[in-house]
Amino acid sequence: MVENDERQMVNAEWQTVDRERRMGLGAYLRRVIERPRGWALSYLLTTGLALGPALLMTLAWAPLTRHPLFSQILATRSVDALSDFVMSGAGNGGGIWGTLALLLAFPIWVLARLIWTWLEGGTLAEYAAGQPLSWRAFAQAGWRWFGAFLTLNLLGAVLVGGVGGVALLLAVFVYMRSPALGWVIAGAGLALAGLIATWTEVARAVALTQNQRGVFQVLGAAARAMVRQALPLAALVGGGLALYGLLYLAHRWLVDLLPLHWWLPTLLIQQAYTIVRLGIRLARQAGQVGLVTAIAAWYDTKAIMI
Amino acid sequence: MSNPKSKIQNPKSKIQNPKSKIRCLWLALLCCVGLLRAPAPSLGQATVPPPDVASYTIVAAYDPQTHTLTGQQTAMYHNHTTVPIPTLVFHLYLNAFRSAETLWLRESDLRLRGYSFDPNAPGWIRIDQIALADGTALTVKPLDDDETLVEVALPQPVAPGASVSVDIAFTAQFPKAFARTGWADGGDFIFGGQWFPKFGVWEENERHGGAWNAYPFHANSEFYADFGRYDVALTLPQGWVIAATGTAAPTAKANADGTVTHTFSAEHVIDFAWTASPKYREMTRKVEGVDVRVVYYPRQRAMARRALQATAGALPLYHAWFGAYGKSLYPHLTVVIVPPDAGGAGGMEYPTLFTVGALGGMMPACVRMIEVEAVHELGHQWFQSVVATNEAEEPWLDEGFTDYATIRAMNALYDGAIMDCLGWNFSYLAMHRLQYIMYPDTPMAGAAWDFDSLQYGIATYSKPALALTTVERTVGEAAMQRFLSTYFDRYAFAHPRAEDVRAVMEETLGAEVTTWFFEQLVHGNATLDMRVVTLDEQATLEREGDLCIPTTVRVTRSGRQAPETLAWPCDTPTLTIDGAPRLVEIDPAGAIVLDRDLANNQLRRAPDPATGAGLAVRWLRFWQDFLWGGAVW
Repeated sequence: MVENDERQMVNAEWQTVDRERRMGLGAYLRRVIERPRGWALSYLLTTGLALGPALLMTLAWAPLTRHPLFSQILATRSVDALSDFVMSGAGNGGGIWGTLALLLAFPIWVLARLIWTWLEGGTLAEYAAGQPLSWRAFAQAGWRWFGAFLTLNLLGAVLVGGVGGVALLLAVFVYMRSPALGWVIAGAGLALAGLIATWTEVARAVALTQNQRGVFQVLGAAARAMVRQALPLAALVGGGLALYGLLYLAHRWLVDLLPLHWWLPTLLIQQAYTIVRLGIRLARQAGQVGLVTAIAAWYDTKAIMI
Repeated sequence: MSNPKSKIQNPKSKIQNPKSKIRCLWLALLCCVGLLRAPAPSLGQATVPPPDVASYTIVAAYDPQTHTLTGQQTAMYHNHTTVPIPTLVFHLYLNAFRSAETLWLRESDLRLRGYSFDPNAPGWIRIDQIALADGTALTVKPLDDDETLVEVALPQPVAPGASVSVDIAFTAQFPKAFARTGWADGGDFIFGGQWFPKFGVWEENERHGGAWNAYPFHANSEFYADFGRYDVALTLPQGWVIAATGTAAPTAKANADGTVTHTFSAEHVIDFAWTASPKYREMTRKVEGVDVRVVYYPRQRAMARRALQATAGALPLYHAWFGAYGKSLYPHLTVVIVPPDAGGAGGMEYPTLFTVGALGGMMPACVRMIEVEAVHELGHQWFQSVVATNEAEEPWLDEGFTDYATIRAMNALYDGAIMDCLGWNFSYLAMHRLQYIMYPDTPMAGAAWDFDSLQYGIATYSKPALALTTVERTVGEAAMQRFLSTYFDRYAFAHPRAEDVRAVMEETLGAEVTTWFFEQLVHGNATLDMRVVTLDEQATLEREGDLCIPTTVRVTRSGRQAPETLAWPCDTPTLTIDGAPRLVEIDPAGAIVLDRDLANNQLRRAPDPATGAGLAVRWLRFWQDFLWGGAVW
């Protein structure tokens, strides 16, 4: 595209964002459905990458299905059957397929995280933009924010893991003396880990809407945004987690009703669960974009540079 | 009540006389009311136990500051044999804890069940003075280096049918609790177990033809004693709550020095244990006519409730399966929840009292350690407190029967599960199997000190429990019931041996079961692994091991045909099945839980596509969650 044309397109989108700053949170949440590209790509990415190892592990374990006790383990979650099976010489499953799956696990996981990070840039940019983006703009947004988002993701993982790990160890230690206090510490650790995860998530929304790639600057701005939008953010994150919980319980209840060999209904329920869960996560992120965008007075809003 | 015959003989008069009809109705109503007011079902006929053999009157005072107890004891022994008794033998169990050099502590590597000996807080017991009732002084002679067993020569032997009484002044120092007995919580908790000079058992039989059955205290060993009466007066500081074997006197005596003397009496018991703390709370419940009391620390209230619930659930079951609690002679039962730093005192049984350890309270409620411990220790009220086998020489007799009862009670109360968390369940029976298959060839017979600690657990707990479960599933519940109730009834307040159990088993269950149970499992090292070796156009099944228990095999050939059941006698080491079976299942009822490997008991000819597809779907979900990393966020 000619530079003048690009500048005109940018100015148009800037004007659109400016007007949409006055939109409610609901409008941003609706964008998850109105602009389903991020949702669809997320699901396809996750499923596509998971199919390979899933098939490998199934091939590895297929010979074990000759043993009814193995089916009993899967169907009833009996540790009795599991312990008998593990102690037995009967189950020599795995072999090359299992080994291959385990060897590929970490590389595939790293690849998935990297593609997720790229996808997140395009998806959040699409939620923030006044109009749906073109495929090219979507892809370029992903590359533009890849470095910053990757840094934020890594930082978040380290902080969450560190805080969560310390809290867990402390909770276990205290639990031996006082079970009630142990639970309190575990709960507080969990809440703190959640807070940190939200902080790095909001930071991504701030980075994108403020067009700021300095990690510490966006983290500071994100902290201020979290204070400013504490209640709606708490409702957004808390509501999302509550929905996760309900969804998980509902899906588990349904799946547990089904016999092991009813694989097709199980597949449909599990994939529906995965799709909806992805949608809830994206809605949370879209909502964060909306909340951050609404703090117009705190930010020196710039055009989204594409 | 009117004579029903008169009604039948003269029905017309009944119709023609409405007043007599009304009278009948009133009588029927009164009968119903009478039934409604009938007393609760009794525990059964009280048994008349044999005369007391070893009885004690003890007056003692405990000092929580120094953890010492001083006592005056009158111990009476009755010679119920035909052989004169020339000496008296006493157990002084507390001397096993006087230093790290004792036999007990060397054998145990200074710990029991994970709790360690504190060398700064040892335990011991000393006889300060011993004399006959007429004042004749007696001399104590140690029978082992640690003085856990002492002998007292008598001026005159105790003639058959006669009794002897001795007065003993003794002092005991309790150790910091790590092995059943001792103090904890800075001195605010005391459990008095094996705390007084205790008679051995004088026996006249083929094994001990006129001798004392008493051994130095070994680490693996528990106890063996005669039945008798205990009258115990314990003096403690004011404000201490005490629980003990037997029945407490209605009121305690307040003393001028600020202490309080509590009095207990217990009849037809083999031991007396007690516990006290100023921090105890209690909860009570009447279960089938038995007053059940639970004592616990305030922060252990939830544990106490669970233990009480488990006890209340299991007590009626044991009553139905074996016979009345204490043969209806014990009106009380006490459950002690020991505080966390007295965990070593937990999980132990005494007549009309048992302890539950604190570890279960640290686990989530879906792990039923408290319940299984309560159910197990309650079972000992039948097998040990009433059927008082020799825990030193034949430990499997009380532990094995009790753990079999525990498996059965856990099945009835909790679907067998000792753990049921997040949909994953693990049974108490499977826990025993895991231990058993480590050394399945360990014979059950043997003295406690014949085994190392792992094999002791297998020989004493796991293998007998599994063996008895196999017997039950082989002969059926009704026959098993006959065996158990006959055994309990015949040997209540007695000291049966393995040969006595064998005789009852043969009488009630027959020679075949008795042979494989006793010759191959109790005294032998037979094991068994039945397996489907190959399955294609023909199935080949093999038995490996000498344990001879016949079983059946279920063969499924095609979806339309009903499965066929074949007998597999134990003298047939290999079985071949033709006709391209689709699925072969050995012992489909799961009766033989002693089979070393249950996973190879069933096999399909080909991988099951439905299970495979179900597996693939679950793996897909797992990898989606793993790769996404957002399973919870």
